Amino acid sequence: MNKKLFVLALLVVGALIGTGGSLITAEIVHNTGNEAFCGSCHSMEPMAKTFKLDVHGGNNDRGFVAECADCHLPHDSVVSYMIDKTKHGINDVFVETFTNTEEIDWIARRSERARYVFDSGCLSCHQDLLDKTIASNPKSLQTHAHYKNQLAKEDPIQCVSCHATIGHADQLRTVLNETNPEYSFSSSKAMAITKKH
Amino acid sequence: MKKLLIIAISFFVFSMSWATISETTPEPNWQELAQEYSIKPHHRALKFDCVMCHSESTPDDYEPLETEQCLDCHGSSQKVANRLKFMDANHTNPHNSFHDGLDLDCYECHAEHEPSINLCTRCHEVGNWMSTVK
Repeated sequence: MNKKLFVLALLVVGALIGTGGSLITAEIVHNTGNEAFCGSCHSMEPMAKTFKLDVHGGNNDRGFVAECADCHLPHDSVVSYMIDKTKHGINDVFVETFTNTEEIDWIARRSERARYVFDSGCLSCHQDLLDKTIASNPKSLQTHAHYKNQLAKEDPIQCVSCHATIGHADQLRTVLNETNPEYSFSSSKAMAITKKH
Repeated sequence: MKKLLIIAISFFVFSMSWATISETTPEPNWQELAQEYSIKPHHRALKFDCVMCHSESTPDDYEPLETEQCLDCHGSSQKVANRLKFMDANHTNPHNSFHDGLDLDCYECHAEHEPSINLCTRCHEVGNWMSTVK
């Protein structure tokens, strides 16, 4: 075979494989980052349920729906996005398959929100938020200016430092309490309440 | 020459006025104020300055916050009640209680510069209802 023709054929085959591989990867990435996929695991049901109650989960007039990965994966670069997605994917499959997820204290884990909610995700949608000059709640201009000011400093605050229950309609703690109540008080014990006076 | 004299006098008067203003309104000692009026850990973690809550022009004029001012950031009475909705079943949600519903002022329990109190404990044993008030 002509050497030039061979090289050309190699390039064409390489391009086809590369393009095909990229398209398949993109499709997999897209279909494994939404509520339907993440919520299919038993341990993620409370998160999926409360997400659907939230403005980000479709509970809005516009019909807009974000995906789990939009908030829970970094968006500063494709590389960091893919690395974190791979790490989380491996971790989640391992934990769901080989450990008892019933033992995970999800209520306590909420305090780690700054570790698993990424500002780059928030700001990839809310792009002009930090430069707004008009807002229905003027206080938000002051607090977002404070956030922007902190970005230049060591150990800046994050979006979820203030927006602690965002994405889950303030209801994740309540839904988690249905199966793992924080307090022992129940209706049957109501009579046991002792009055001091 | 006359113009130069007017400019020089104007500059002198302006400088003196500025110096007088500066002397009468010295910059507050924010560090000292921060020590005297320590804030709650959750607000300290957000690195808030005094002016995040207090809008008066000088610290001497700072007033305790009204509920509406807390809700500028915390949303609404309904929103703070929703966060503890799991306590509704037994009417033990302090933000939507049997007694006050959504109409309880924040400062009845929460104090920023001194220990908060749990209003419920005036009448009830609440050990199995709720944790400490932040």
